[in-house]
Amino acid sequence: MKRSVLVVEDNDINRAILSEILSDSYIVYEAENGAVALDVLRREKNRISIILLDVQMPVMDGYTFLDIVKADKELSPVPVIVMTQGNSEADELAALEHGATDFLSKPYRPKIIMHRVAGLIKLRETATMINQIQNDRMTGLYTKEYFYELVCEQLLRNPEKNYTIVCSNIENFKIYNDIFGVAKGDELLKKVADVTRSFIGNDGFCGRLSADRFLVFQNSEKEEIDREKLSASIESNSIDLLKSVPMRWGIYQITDRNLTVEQMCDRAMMAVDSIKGKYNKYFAVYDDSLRNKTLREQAITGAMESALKEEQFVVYYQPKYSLRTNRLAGAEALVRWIHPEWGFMSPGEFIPLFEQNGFIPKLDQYVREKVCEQMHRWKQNNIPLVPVSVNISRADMFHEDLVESITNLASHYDIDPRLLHLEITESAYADNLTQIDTTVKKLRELGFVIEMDDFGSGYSSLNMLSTTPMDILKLDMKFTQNEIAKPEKHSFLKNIIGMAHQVDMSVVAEGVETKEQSERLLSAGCDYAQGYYLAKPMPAADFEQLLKTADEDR
Amino acid sequence: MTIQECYIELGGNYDEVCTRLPSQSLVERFTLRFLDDKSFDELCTEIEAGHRAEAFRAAHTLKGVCANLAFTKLFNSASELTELLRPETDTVPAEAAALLENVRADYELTTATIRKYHGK
Repeated sequence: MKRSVLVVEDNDINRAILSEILSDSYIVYEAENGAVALDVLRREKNRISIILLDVQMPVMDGYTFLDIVKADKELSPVPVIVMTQGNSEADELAALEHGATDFLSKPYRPKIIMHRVAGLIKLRETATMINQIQNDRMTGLYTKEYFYELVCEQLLRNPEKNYTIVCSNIENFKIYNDIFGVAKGDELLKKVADVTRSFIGNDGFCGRLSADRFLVFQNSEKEEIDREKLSASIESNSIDLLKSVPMRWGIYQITDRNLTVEQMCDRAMMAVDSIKGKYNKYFAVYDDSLRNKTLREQAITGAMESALKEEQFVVYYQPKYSLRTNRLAGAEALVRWIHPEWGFMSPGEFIPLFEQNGFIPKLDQYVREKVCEQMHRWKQNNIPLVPVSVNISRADMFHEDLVESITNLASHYDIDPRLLHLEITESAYADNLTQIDTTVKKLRELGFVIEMDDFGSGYSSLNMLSTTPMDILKLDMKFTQNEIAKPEKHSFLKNIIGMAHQVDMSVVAEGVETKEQSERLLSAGCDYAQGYYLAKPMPAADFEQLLKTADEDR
Repeated sequence: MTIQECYIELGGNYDEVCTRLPSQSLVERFTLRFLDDKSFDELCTEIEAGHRAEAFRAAHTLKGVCANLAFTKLFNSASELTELLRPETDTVPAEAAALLENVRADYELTTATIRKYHGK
């Protein structure tokens, strides 16, 4: 690639000779004085590799031009060779004092000019390359790699000092980018970088870890002072930038110097991730429990797919009884995970994680299939069936082929749709009522029984009971227990059950743990109950026994 | 007349100019362009007007051009005048008139020789 040279010289002949000398190897831009040269340079600053500058010129002389260029952040990196007349030491000195990179004396000595020009261009390009490796192009902060290197150096040089790494994160940056455009997003990143840099001052240094994450390395004491300052500014709402852009900071106080810098930064990152989206929580300091939790979560996430393939997920059945007749009325299918090494995993641990990482629909689908398969076997063995409730995840509700997939499942295993109760969580209704209405309506028309799960756990709308026809209202465990704990006249239980009955829904209470609770529910008009008082979730074989004896009782 | 003879006649150094301009035709083209160069006229005007700084710049330019074209004789007289004009005084020094005459003589010799060479 031919580099470009800007020749600034007022005399036509001199300029033409110089251009002639350079034109074989370079693209030559010409300017007859400093003012014209500035125009050309501003226009072509990304293209011009070097400037050859005369001093004595009308309109704007070489020194004035140099002063302007060297004061301009964008133009100053372009090297300038001043062409001095003769061997005047005063001229050479003046040129260097005004910021010239080098000087050459007139008359032109082509070979020397060519070598000097090529050498300086190469030097500058190498410096730029190093600069690009060291500095993030957009924000000017150190790149991740260079940041790591500097941290390493600092730690080695000061083994007795305490240091901290802070990882900051702009919340919802992707959404910001999406709404306001990438240009605005870049602008925001630059602003955040500037604010961070000015906050740190000369006591530490900052780097850019990834798109919207920044790193700071600081002396621990200074970091604590800064954190307090920052915290106060957030409280008093005095940092303009943070009014519109929520940020979080994760802090790792370097205690283990055997870690790689990358691992140290990971810890700061873990800390910041732990408070993602948490209202009013801006700082999180890393500790080992956080690490263990993250590691555990990573292990679970890493194991889930193979667990599904290896059938580590097992369906348990929790019996459901009629409160009036005490007879077995159905069961809820619950998933259990029995890991070959970790053993019995608590659903409270893995279910929320699967909800977060999007694995739930897959698992729900698996459970539905297993339940249908099991029911099919019971049916073939002439074991009398009761309805079994399975989950439909919120994400599933938006799948176009949900109705088809469930219908296929039922017909494939030859299960009467009335025996398949589909549980839709209450909170799903808050998302998109029309969509859910349509899906629910279709499923009911096909004979499936729809249960509204977790009623009372979130924003329950009684109005929903009348607008969205369903079959069964399932009271949330906590809600049931809370209502029962109240004196009878203060409890809504009776009213809610009454209203459900009015729209032809029967009511199931979850989490029944004592005889008293069971009696209270019966007197409130509740139809069915499930809970440890009645029966714990059990494997299919145990439930099969229950089905057989229930039949004999009849 | 050859270009070498032309250079000898105007008191220049043809070998030197060849280090700067790689072909004879380029040397010829630049000597011809010298006839249009304004720095000598400017020098005369500015000295007459008593503008030392402007006169200095013109002399300086003329000296520079001559150096590049290796017009040694004219370069020498222009250099002498340039150095006289360099100190930052308010007026043009009295000695300038005599030095300008030397420059003029060399300039006329140079341009006349070039014209003769190019048949103008």
